[in-house]
Amino acid sequence: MIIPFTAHGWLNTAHGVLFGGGYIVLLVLALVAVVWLRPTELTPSGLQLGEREVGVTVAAATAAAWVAVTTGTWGIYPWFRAAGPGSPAAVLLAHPSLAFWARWVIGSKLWVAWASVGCVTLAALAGYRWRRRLAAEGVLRRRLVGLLAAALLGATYAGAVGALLAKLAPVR
Amino acid sequence: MVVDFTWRGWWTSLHGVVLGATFLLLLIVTFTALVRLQSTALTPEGVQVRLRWLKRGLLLMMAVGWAAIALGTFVIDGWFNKHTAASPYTILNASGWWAWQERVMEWKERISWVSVVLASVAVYLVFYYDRQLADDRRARSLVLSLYTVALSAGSIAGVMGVLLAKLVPLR
Repeated sequence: MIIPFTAHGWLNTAHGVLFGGGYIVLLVLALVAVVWLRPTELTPSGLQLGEREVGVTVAAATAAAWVAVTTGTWGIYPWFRAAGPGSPAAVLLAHPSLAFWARWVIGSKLWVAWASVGCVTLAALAGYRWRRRLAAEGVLRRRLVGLLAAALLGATYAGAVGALLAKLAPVR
Repeated sequence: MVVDFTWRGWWTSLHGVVLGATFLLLLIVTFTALVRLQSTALTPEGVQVRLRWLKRGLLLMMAVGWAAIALGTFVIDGWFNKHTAASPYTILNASGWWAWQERVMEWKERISWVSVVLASVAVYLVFYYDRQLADDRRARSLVLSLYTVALSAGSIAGVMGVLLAKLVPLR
């Protein structure tokens, strides 16, 4: 059976593949940029370039995160939970073996995605506040790596759950 | 309507969401690492450390890329093109969406191979040039050009895969 493309389906794809996927890619690039900001391995011009790369990648990841989470929370989620027999939530609730996807899994995806956005936003604010000390202080870099890694873990969970939900009960 | 999980669906997810997406992610990360591998920006110690990590990333990328393409070509494509009533091939042809079968699916397979083969050539060149990459701008440009084509082809194949999986999911 063909599942034709709809406006809801396109926005869902943009949310997951474009914004969510882009967020994960930018997060990984930001993590690599912070990990590699080591004064012993960089020349003065390399250090300057590295600091700029950290700023750009963390800021871009934060922007992508906010776009992904706002389209997900206020665009896709209401369609998922819409009243009526055709909504994905209603369809899942009608199957006892799959009801937990509508009761627990989608909710956890939402909260974990917001936690991820919180972590990356905090990383962006901290990175901006201490941008001049970041290269010299390993402790600061490690804390930033911790925040970005937590954000990546959350984004990966939300992305995997989103991919499974899109297979199980696609938004139309 | 619930599209229940089947083992074919799980294999398709492994091919696209796990292996394909990881291949693209590693392509992007190693691409940026290659761009940064310049002796003007790195100390000799930095070049050594980055090259070591770059090579590890490249080997992982190759393993994931070849696994994705082998699974896609020899397993999933076989299910997709089966001439049974429930196969995506039959459904697309019967519904007037034959172009998706004939053009999108066929092209997805071809450009995926282009992506993995070019990425493999680029990896070979990184191992061949080794430390010279940090100093030799021409060698770096050659590797980065191959990378750009591999990344573009891989991204197009990924988008085609997502659209096909949405249009006619494999069960």
